[in-house]
Amino acid sequence: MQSIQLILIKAGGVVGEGDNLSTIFQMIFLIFFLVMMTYGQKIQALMMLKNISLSVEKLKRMRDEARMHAIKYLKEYSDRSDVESILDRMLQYFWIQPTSLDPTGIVGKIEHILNLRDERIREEIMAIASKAEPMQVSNIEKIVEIGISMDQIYRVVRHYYMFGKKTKSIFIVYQLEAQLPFILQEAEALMEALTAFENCQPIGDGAGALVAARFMYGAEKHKITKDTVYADIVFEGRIISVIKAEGPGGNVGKPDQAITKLIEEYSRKPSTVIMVDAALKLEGEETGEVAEGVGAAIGGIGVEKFRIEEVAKKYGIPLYAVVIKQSLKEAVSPMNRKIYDGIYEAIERVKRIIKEKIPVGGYGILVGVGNTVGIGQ
Amino acid sequence: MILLAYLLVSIIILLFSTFLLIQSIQAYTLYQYERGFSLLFTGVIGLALSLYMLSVYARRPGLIRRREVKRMLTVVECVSCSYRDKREYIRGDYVMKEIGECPICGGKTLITEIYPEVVSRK
Repeated sequence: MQSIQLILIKAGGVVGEGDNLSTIFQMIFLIFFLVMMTYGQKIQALMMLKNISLSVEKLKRMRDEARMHAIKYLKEYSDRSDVESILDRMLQYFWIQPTSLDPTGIVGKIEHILNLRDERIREEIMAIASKAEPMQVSNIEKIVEIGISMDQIYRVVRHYYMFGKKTKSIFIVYQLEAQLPFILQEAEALMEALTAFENCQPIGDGAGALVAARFMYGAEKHKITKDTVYADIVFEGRIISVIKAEGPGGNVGKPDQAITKLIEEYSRKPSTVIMVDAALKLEGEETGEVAEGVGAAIGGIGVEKFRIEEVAKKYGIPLYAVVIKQSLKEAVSPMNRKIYDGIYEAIERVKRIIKEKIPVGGYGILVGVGNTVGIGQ
Repeated sequence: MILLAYLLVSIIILLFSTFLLIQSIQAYTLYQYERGFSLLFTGVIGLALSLYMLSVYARRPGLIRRREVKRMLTVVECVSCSYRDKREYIRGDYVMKEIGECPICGGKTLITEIYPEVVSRK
């Protein structure tokens, strides 16, 4: 009580006699300020949870929209009445990563599980969409995979939101709020990819495949492995085997198996393997910028990369990489003009590498890596 | 409701801070330096707090954002001459698809690009 009186006298002394309105305002302000200092974090947590709940709602709408797109697309090629229930079952498909307790042979195990997953999804789709052609089956597969991804994103974000709300832990809420811009960006990119796959339009990730398609245009194509084609071309006195996934369906193919087959089964001895792929750009970099390097330019979980590196090491074949830079959103959205400019630049770079690294009369392999939706050959 | 209350509180703090800053200017003009300083100090802190609260409110997702309206274009080129044409995308178009003859030299024409163009922002 005495301390409050002292504060009031002090406040009164500072503001001067008769200035009661200002004093009252200042006191209200001071009290409010003290409340904000003490409970500010809790108020902030409540605000963040409210923001997060809006994002969770947005993700739910996007998940439902992806589901409706998939159902609509499936019904175009199906006579069945239970399309929705089968799709709902497929949207919750998961795969369990093999244990890494004993890492020896883990690549083969991962490959086996992933192949099984792909085959399972394809079988289900072919059973539902009996009227679909192989190209359309590939696109439906990708649309279903987008649906699965959207469902997983929504469930995980909702899990952490409800966990943060239940425990009222500011740290969980902070972490989730910090990740939300990236998560929403990824979700929005996946929704754009949905339209691209429905309409069979090329996406940014197909940049590598388009480079290969331009090289192999006019040559005779042969199917070499699952969803993968190659063509032998002659470029300035050199023979080049150009490999890409079979388009224009949404395939990624098996470029690792194609390279291994050419070298081991067909007994070809390339002096160089050149791989062209899309790569993620850093903030501040321009879309369509082209960079060169060494190594296996291929994404995914690492199984294909492992196989390519193994065969290159076994036969002592140099691996050169050419990448076309783009953002994550651009990689799964319809291919924009800047990426096409990057592709033309990449083609010139590949031509230069061929002339430098493969002698006249020699042989090399060019691999265009990426999803080949909307890109023929 | 919580959001509305939060916004209301931020605006009230902003108004109070502005009032206090005006008061501090008046105090300084009347040579009441101590009073002026205390009002200025409180006003500045209040202004900073209200602006921070408003920025948190503005950054929340779900606000109406400007969306781009795009249309897909297909570019057709002749493999023999320099003929190049742009048209609206038709379902069934894909890159490297051969379509018809070149109107200039009669050679093969090929779809070389399919990309979106921004028409407007709304």
